[in-house]
Amino acid sequence: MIRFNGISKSFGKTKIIDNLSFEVNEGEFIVLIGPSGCGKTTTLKMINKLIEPDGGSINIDGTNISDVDTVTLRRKIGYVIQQIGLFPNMTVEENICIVPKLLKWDKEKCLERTKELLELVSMPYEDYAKKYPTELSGGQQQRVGVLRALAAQPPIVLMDEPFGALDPLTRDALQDEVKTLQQKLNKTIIFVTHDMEEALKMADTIIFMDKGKILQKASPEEMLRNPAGDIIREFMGKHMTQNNNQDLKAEDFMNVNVVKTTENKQTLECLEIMKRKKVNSIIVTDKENTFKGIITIEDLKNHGKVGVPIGTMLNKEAQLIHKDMGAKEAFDMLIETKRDYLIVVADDDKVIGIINKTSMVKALADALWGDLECMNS
Amino acid sequence: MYEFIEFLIKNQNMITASLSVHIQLVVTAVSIGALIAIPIGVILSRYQKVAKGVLGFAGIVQTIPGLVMLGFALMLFGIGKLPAIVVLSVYAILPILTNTYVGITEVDKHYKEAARGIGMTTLQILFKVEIPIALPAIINGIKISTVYIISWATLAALIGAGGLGDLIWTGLATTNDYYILAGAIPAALMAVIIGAIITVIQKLVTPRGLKVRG
Ligand SMILES: Nc1ncnc2c1ncn2[C@@H]1O[C@H](COP(=O)(O)OP(=O)(O)OP(=O)(O)O)[C@@H](O)[C@H]1O
Ligand SMILES: [Mg+2]
Repeated sequence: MIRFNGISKSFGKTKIIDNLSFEVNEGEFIVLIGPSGCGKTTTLKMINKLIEPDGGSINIDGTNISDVDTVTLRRKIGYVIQQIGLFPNMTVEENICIVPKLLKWDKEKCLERTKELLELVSMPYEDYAKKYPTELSGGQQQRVGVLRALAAQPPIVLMDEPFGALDPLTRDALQDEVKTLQQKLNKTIIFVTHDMEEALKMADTIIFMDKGKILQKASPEEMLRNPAGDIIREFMGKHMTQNNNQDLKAEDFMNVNVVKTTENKQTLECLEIMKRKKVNSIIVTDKENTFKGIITIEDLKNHGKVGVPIGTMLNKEAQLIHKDMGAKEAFDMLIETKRDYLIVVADDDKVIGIINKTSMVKALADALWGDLECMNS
Repeated sequence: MYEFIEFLIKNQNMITASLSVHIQLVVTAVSIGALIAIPIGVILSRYQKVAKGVLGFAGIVQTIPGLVMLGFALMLFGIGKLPAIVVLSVYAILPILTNTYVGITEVDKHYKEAARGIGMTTLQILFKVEIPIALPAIINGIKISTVYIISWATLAALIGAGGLGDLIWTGLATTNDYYILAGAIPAALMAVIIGAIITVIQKLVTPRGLKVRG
């Protein structure tokens, strides 16, 4: 766990960080966002002591970092920066293995680790290990930058606008990769960006900074719903006027890839579908696609019997909304009912899609910043 | 032309001896110059304010005419190879010093910051990041020095250090063009060839990653 206690920092006479206190839990993905010059980078660099605070203290797992040897501390914290952070005089392999080498890992272990890491991002060792950074695309360079930060298995990784210079498609792919890696490896990540869409997508918790202070610390959903102040609202709605999102309806941003089945299916078939689609509930319809109910994995466990059609144990607890429901109403309902998803139906209760938090956040982001890609993906 | 070739053949031994002395002078002077200039260049890159002064001073020293310097050296060390090597080394310093200093200070600050951020010590940053990235520039400095010292070394003959200068000065004193040519042509060829050899070395030691974009 990382804890900032009343941290202040001035450059010359200007106060850059003003009595900053916050906590980051283990395994949490924190995104620092805010206008240019608000002190995000400064905050980040205080964690690996690239910048010393004037006042206050930073604790990592209960130890004040000013009591820890700087070099030792840094080798335990991964660090990724936007700019050419890869050393141009070293190959991909040398770059990745630099911290393990500093930590005196033996050669085989380094090699093994490099292979394993390159595999994680689908860059085969044979093809890429001996290349130099200039021989890679921007996206590949940034992948290697991330791998270098992960190489020595640090529990904490700091990332300062790592994807700022990438094209939208590559950025999107890398965001997914980093998010997956973080969840898989259970890293604590502190990530700086000035891109709200990126923050909404990646963060467990967003910290919005302005003039060296925290304006709001909240989950993405909460920040979208209750932005604490005009600057945040502005940040989220840069393109709000371009899109007439007053008229945005449930139908416009639902996810059409619905996992559904018909009521005559049996328990085992149903479990099979759940396993394959990696979901824990399925929407059940009749042959005409009319909503009949849902069935959850618990229902199947508790009541399922071999040979019995699922129609007999349907759960009616689902929340249906009409396709014409307004976006805001649908959003509020999703939050208030605390359900995993809402089922979007046309007239006559025909199931046409679902809305969950992911599609909501994505849709809102798209509405705010323009429809970059197809929403129903 | 024929007579000149005859002259060359007749004086073969003397010419090769002068050439080898010349090469010794140049290699010794440039090596000493590099041994002094590279560490100082590295240190100066840490103290940018001092650096301006030191580089300015070195620039002024460089403009003192070679003959004057040789005169001083003659007074201090007498006649022979020693004063010549001292003077040539002093002249060899500046290009290497400037190139080392500029090469290291121009290493992009993001590299240095990334290096610090991942936990390299100051010395590790110097030897694993800064010097390797600055290496092409440093070698370029050595090349400039070498080519330059090859021609300055012809003056060294005046204080009895030998080398190809001996032939040239003899030629001038006796108005014998063959002597002059026998000294000047090998010196010119030597400059071209050694320059080319260093360029090859430079290419060999520069990692592929540093070649692509500058
Ligand atoms: N070494 C320094 N010396 C003086 N001022 C500095 C220094 N580093 C940062 N600053 C100033 O501190 C302020 C905050 O800088 P910081 O880099 O933390 O901003 P940021 O939030 O990361 O901005 P951006 O989104 O543009 O990267 C800026 O006004 C910057 O000019
Ligand atoms: Mg910044």
